[in-house]
Amino acid sequence: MDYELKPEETALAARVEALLGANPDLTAGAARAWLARLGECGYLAAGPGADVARLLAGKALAARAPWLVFAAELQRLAAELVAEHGALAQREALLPALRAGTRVAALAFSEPGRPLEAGPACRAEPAGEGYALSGQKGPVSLAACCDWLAVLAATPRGPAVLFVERAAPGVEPGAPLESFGYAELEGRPVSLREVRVPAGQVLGPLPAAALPGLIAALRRAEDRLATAAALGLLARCLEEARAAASAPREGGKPAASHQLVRFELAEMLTQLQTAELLALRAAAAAAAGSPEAERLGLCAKVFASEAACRVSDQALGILAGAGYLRSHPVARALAEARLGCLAGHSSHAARLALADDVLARLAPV
Amino acid sequence: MDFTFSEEQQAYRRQVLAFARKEIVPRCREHDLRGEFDRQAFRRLGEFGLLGLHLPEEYGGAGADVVTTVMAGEALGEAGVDGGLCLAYGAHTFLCADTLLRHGSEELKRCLLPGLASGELVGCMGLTEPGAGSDVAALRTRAERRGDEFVLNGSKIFITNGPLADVAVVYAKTDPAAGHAGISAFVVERGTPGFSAGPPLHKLGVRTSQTSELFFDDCRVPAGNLLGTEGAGFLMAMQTVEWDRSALVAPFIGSVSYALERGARYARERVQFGRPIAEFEAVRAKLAELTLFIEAARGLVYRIAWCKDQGRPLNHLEAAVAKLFVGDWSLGPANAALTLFGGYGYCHEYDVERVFRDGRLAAIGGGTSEIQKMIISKLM
Repeated sequence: MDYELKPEETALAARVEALLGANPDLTAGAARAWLARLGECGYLAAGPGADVARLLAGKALAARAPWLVFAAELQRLAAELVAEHGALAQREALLPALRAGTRVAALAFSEPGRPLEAGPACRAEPAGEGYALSGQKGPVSLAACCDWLAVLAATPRGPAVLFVERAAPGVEPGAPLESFGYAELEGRPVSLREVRVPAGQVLGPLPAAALPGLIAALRRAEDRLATAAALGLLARCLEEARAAASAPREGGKPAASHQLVRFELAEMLTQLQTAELLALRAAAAAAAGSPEAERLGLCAKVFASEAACRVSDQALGILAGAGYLRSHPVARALAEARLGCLAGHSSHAARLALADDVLARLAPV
Repeated sequence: MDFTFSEEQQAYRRQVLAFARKEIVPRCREHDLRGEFDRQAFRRLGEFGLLGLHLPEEYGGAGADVVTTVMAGEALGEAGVDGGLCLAYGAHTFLCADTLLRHGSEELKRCLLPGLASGELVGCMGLTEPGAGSDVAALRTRAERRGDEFVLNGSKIFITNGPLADVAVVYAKTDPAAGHAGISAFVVERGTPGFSAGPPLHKLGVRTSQTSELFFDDCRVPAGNLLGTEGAGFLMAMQTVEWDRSALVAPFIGSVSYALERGARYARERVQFGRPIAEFEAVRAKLAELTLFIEAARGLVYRIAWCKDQGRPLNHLEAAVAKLFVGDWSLGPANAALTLFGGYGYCHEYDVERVFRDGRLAAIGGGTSEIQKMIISKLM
């Protein structure tokens, strides 16, 4: 047992902190530049075993711009898909740019009104040396600024992930959807009409049995990013609430002079520390390939994302009207935290998965 | 970071689980229903080595590290040992014996620690008073030096093991004007003239631990029974906080694991509407609630234990966070466990009502949740 963070586990977060200090533009327009920076600092290429380092770096990033964690982790997943399913030539062609962040991939797995588990309705039919891709995808984050869309589609011989040039004829991104939070991701529907994709840009066709694996990989990635994002949101909300509570108020005492406010802050810190330790434990288990990793990962995701919802609400209570302004980090966090409970394994789905694990371990049939 | 237990620790945990399930747990329900201390089980804990687990071998202990010691406490709860016996063990070992180990004279240690380690002697700690609970500086029990003796006058309340104790570590004011710096600690042995205990208090839970008042009426103790130096008592009491936040709360976490195991089995066996209730999502969600609490709490509690093993000074903020979390956040899971069993949960035969009752103390004993919030908000 060792609760001490090692230098190799904190170094990546330190580099991310330095980047955040030097590059204050965290608007959607800076997405490409930021992915390139994250590639350069090693975030996008941090491989298996670096789970703790990635978690801490993700938390640092999320404390200032949670949407960047989503962008970065989805880019990472695209790279992981290439690494796992791509042929040698594809890995050589795609991976360096993905890991460097110099080319941006947007994951286009979801389809409107269709659960992933039902398989893609989007079809890729053989056409010449490649495929012709048609269907509807969305919401797709960063669809307007990416270079490639990594599209999950059905081919006659099984599922495939097609790396489609965004500028290719037939790719038609719709208008950004007005989401509750994470506006910078600019999630939007994408129509694909007879889009020609060279065979070299296609991962697959994969065996039909590979589809659950692809979906599971997406869920795991979303769980990880939701956990890291939640930790960042927790830290930011606590920071904002503490600052507001101790600030002098005209004609009165600081809010922190009230015991109830101080107790709220104590509860918030307790949730942050608990979530962080649980997430670190899950990350360490994942890095070690522990059989507990999946269970701990789900626990960490559920606890951290729900704690972020509670704590952002508590922070708003302390900030009062100031925090209610749409542009305030706490108001934004309130909306952003909620997505954490929905992304990957939703809180409901994760609880059922945890219960299944408990029943299998403690009361096998 | 590495959150795993060593092979040796895991093997010992399995031994504790097997021992407790075989020798202690079958006795717990009856004693809990009668509200009786199980002295035989207590002695068996001593014979197995748990009462003196972390004490040095020269005093009858096993010299175990803190993480192993905390893990053993969690295993007791996980096995199904009732909260009362776990509390009796905790107060005896960590609040009494450990204070004696750290601050007692060699003569006192040689005389008392082997008996405490074996369970031949029962120990307690007397700190809380009717007018001084969380506010330790408000203690009114006096200890006046008269020659080679100290004369104690006053009373204590809510003292775990009070009616049974052969050895009491008692905190009293030697300098009433000095606030915290005027508090000293003494060893008072059963049979000392002027020292008596009240009848056991009737409690909501942890019923097999005997809790009472202690009375000191011109109680004379040799000056050699002073622990450490005069005025150092408050710091000694604070040193028990590390144990309070780790070893004493670990059985509560373990008891939620016990409820989880019982709940999972019950959910498989209990059939309603033609199918096991484990197939109902609302029932499975309760199992998940318990799991979430257990995994979240472990990280906090073992952090305190690990830091203590590293010889680091206690981080009061982290300790309070651990205590607050276990105390407040165990209430929901304990309630979920009870309701999973429906009407059976409200009766004693599945033990979950006992877990529910016993667990309620976690937010009160050793510093209430409100005190933890005061500490956290002050230090953060």
